[in-house]
Amino acid sequence: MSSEAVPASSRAAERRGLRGLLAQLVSPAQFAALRSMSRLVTRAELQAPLALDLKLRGWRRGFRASSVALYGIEQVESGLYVSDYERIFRGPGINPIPALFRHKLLLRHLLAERGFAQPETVAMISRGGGILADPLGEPHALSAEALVRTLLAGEGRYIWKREDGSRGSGIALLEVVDGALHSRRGSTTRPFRLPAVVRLTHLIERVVDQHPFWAALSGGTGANTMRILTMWTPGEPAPFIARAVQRIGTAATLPTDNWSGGGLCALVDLETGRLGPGRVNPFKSGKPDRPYREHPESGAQIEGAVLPGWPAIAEAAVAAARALPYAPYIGWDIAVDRTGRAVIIEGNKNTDVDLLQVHGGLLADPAVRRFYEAYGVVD
Amino acid sequence: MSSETAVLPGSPADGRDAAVGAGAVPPPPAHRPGRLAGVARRVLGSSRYDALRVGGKLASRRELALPYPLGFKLRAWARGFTVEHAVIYDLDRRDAREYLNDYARKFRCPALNPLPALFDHKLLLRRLLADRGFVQPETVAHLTRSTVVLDPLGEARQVDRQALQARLVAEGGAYILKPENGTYGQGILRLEVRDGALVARRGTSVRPFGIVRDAPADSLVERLVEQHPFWERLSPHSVNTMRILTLWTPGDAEPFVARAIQRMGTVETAPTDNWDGGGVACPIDLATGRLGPGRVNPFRSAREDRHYTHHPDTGAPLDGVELPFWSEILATTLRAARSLPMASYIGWDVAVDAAGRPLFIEGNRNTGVRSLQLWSGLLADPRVRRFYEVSGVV
Repeated sequence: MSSEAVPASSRAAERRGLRGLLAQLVSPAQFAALRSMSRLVTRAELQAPLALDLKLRGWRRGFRASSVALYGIEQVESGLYVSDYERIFRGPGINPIPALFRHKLLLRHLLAERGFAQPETVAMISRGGGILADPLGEPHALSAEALVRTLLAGEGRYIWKREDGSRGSGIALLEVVDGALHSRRGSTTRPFRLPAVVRLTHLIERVVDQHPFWAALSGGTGANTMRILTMWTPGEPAPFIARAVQRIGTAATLPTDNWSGGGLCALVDLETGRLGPGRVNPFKSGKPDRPYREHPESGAQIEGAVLPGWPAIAEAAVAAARALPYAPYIGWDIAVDRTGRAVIIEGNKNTDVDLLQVHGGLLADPAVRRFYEAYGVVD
Repeated sequence: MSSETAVLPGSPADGRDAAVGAGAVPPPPAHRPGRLAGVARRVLGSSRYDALRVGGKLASRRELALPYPLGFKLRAWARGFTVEHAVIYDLDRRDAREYLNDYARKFRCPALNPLPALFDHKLLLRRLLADRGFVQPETVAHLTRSTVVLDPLGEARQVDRQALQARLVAEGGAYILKPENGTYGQGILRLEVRDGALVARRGTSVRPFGIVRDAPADSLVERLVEQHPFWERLSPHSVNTMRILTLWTPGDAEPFVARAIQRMGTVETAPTDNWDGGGVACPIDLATGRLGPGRVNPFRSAREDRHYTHHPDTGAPLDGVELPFWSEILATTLRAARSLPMASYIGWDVAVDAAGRPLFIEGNRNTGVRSLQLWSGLLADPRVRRFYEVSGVV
């Protein structure tokens, strides 16, 4: 076993059995094409509204129909884009301790110790119903009634989410309306009752009181966070930022700003913090795929706007990556609070790349390509 | 509380109202039998049904093959114990209700800690404890599939495996190589430098070892703890650790130490002190730090199961000996438990270094209880029983 990652191209030689036989019979490119097609082509892919020859050209390079439509076939064939195959089947091998990201409280705990600003974790509700208030500060047990009283008195807005959730599943925005807690998801609001028993551990955190610049991006509602991808290449002394995008929520995405849920995202120029035009996911947002110079709902300027305090934000992301040497590949969700501090909302172990690459292929940057090569993600 | 909650037959929780007051934790969602199971339960009666269900989960092929009468085995299984443990605890002569049984430990206890990953990944717990200033073995390197992170809790420099090998050889000394996400002492090797090369020791075998060739991915290299002379005298074959169980009852202001034992390696168990691997364990009197007589696991050790007043290899006296630094060990362990409020149930492995400082080797989220219950059941202590009851385990 070598000390470096085994390059993907030489892996073919080590295959045994039927796959080994196949690898002998066809060229490496044909083998890769067969492999990605066999793993990517599902019924949904077959039914996707895209010409079959374009789908075939995408599949053989490891891209799904939606990615071909999003990036364009010339881009897909340029070799500058991380493919769906690479992200889905090889990306998970990069971080050796995935649990660090599956459990929000764990990452939060580690970052809190090192002084990174994060949303205030108000309470942890354990499986079974035990409530621990202020779990990262002065932890103490609390009854359900006392927790509700605290929330009502807190005058804030809160996020209710699964401790081990990802992709915004099960997230609700809790607000105090007429002296009672209500949960809001999209445009529906309903009274919220703290469940007596939860199957999975949940967290209640205070919504970050965001900086006026970011609040204004989407017209005052919803959090607007950056997704900043940090990489730490083996042998390098420090991690670096591979790409950063600013996500901007729309009425459809509240309380989140999920791009795959219909939000916008704009490329952040890493030097200056200047935003490019906003882009949407045409398949998820129902909005036409064009560069948005302004927010389609709020009219706020997107293209050309400069993120206030960008150098400090970038520095915080790199410092956080530096603090977690056992996690070389992190997609950070970062907000900025009223005082201008970068607040780390969470980290993702195998970030979606579509919202990053809708602005251009990640592999165009040689440093980024080197990282993915070192971890055997791209050949 | 549903009447269908699985309550072990004979357990005092049977039929008891589980409401424990405001702020207390309702037990985890109860076992709900399916349709067929519902019929079986009605036909057999609930206590016989529970006995069957528990027995079915415990009766492994290994258990069936053990040389004990079937009646003894059935009695053990029905009470939620494996045959092995019924023998070790001598349940025919003791009150089984005072012991935490295997069913509870295996199927209920895993739910006690909501963040299992904190314990499954040694590096994570180590990071948190280091941030709070607790002394731990020096983590020299973290080996992953693609890289080596030197000093992962400090400077965190990435190098390749050759560089790690060269560094270990140059620095000399002894190291422990262990899986980053391992438990139970599996895969633990002691590495030493001999004649300018690394060798690995496990038990009595010694073989050449190369980091590049032989070290598995996702492992940690840590410097072997230089233990205090008192513990070194107990057995020089291993770092001899205490297993200290801390509990934090929901609603209580503070955690407490439920039980502590001192473990010692033997020639066979080197480099670990695992009781299950053939080591010796002594109870520690919590008030005084005084050791009781040692015992070995009759199923895993070639030695006789009797009360050892002296270590069988080294002859070091055990029974009645007072552990040095005991009050400090207790206080430090409690402080560590208090610093992890999201983990209410921790089995700590604590060593004492040459300077007399208590040092955490690791924490376990669902500690084995057999070596803790060698001399008496955990549930005999009302405070401990209350923890398990409030947490829905018994």
